[in-house]
Amino acid sequence: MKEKKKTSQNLASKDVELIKAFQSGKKAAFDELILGHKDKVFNLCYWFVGDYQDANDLAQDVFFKAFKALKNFRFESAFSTWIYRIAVNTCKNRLNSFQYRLKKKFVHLNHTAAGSNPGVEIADELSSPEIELGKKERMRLIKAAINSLPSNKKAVVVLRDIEGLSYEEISSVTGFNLGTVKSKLARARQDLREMLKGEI
Amino acid sequence: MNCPGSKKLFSEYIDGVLDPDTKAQLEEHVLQCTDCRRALEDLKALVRELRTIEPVKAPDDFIDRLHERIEPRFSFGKIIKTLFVPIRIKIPVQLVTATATAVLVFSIIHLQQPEKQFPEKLLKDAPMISEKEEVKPGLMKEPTEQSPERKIYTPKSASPKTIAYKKSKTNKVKGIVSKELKTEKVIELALVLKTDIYRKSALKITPIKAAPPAESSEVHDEEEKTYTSSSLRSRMAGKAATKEEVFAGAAKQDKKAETPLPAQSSALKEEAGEPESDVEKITEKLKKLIKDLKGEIKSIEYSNKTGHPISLTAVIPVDKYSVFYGKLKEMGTLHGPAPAVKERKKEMIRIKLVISK
Repeated sequence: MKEKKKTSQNLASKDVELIKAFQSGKKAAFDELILGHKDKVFNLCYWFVGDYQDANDLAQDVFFKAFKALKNFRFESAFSTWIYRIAVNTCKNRLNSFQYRLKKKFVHLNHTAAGSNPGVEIADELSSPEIELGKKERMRLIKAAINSLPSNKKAVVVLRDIEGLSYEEISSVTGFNLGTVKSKLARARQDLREMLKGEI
Repeated sequence: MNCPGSKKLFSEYIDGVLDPDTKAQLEEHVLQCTDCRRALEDLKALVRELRTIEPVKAPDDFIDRLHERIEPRFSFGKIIKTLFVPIRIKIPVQLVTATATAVLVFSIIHLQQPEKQFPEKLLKDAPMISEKEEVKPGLMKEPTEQSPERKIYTPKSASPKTIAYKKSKTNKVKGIVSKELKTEKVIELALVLKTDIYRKSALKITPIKAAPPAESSEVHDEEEKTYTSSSLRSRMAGKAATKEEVFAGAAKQDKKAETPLPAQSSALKEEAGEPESDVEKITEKLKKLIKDLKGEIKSIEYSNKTGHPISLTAVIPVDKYSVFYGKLKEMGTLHGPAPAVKERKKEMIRIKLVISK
């Protein structure tokens, strides 16, 4: 636990250096910032919208916004928290947009989970095809269950259980107080359990 | 601790954020309650499952795509897109409508302009010709609106064939004449009679338009008949009628579609003991000349006061015009520019001779 904290602290201090470098005019520093956070942000976007291509577009949007706003970054929070906040807000806006809802209505029938997430490959050389198939099926069910959650509950559960953020970090990212985060997370987990009863 | 209360704490219990006392109470309840124990186990499995999910990685070209978006490569299309899409300038619909209407109106006016610019002089002439095209059968003698002193004699009667031809043309006449007049020149001449016998008279010669040759011959024949007829002459003979009476009689004849004679005035004058005027002699000479030239007389206009011919309208072939012109020169001195008429065979020109003392 302590090592994890140390690592995050090291990362945070590295982020600060890179941001300062960027603010001083070194554009290349932004690439390093992206490299450190792109997968986490992409993963968050993916579990938010449940589609690989949409997640890619959303993650691009998130970093593009970050690039524009980074000059005015005031170091009041960690860069990771800041970029997560941008990501959550961008994803929420997308989910609430008319275009997205319209697209969801006319989604293709062959738009399966396996086909839409080429990045999700559970690498387990020892696993048999049956186990692999079972895992994929579980993944599809979990994704469907998470997608059915309201965006606030979704944000909390994804940030906590998939991204591994602490309650405090979630509170900082979402803007909810700690008690709200706890209660929302408890209800979200309860909902998921109800939805996935007998499957997992 | 009851079941609902304990279930609310499962999430925090799994995350290990419960305080020790609450945690102890919850563990004690779960040991006693099978449902809660099962629910906790299910929730633990779910969270375990969620935490073991492999993170989805961004595509390899993620940073490249982002670079393209942040720093777009130079391209003409991108510049155009930046400048014009979306269009920054909003054009009001009212302005567009007003401009379109103005363009439409201007184009319509521009297209109609040639007709508007048609010379007034020629337009005045055109109805005169069409009026003659609509002449009723038989010689006619009717006063014109041009002057109260003038009366027009139309020394022709058209055959049924000619009438049919003319009726078919009636509606087109104005347009046709207008077109012809647009293109052809109007030549005016003044002739002062040479000899002392002939008093000085001014003859204005105006070639106006072409007429079909077939029609001309027919008209000429009719004219001859009417000229030689003595019906009116015999009726009028022995009467010391005034000129007004003569013309009133002629007007009545018009109604009956009988033929008034151009020579009637001279005949009347002769009978009334009045000598035939020089102008009338000249007129007769001109009639003969026109006949020789295979032309025809369309109408003769007489003065109300004097009874002398004041104008003569005739049609002659274009190729005979030079001869006609020469003969006129012999009669007197021509004033004004010489007629520049291109000699084209099978075409007729209409001449109006205005005789004034």
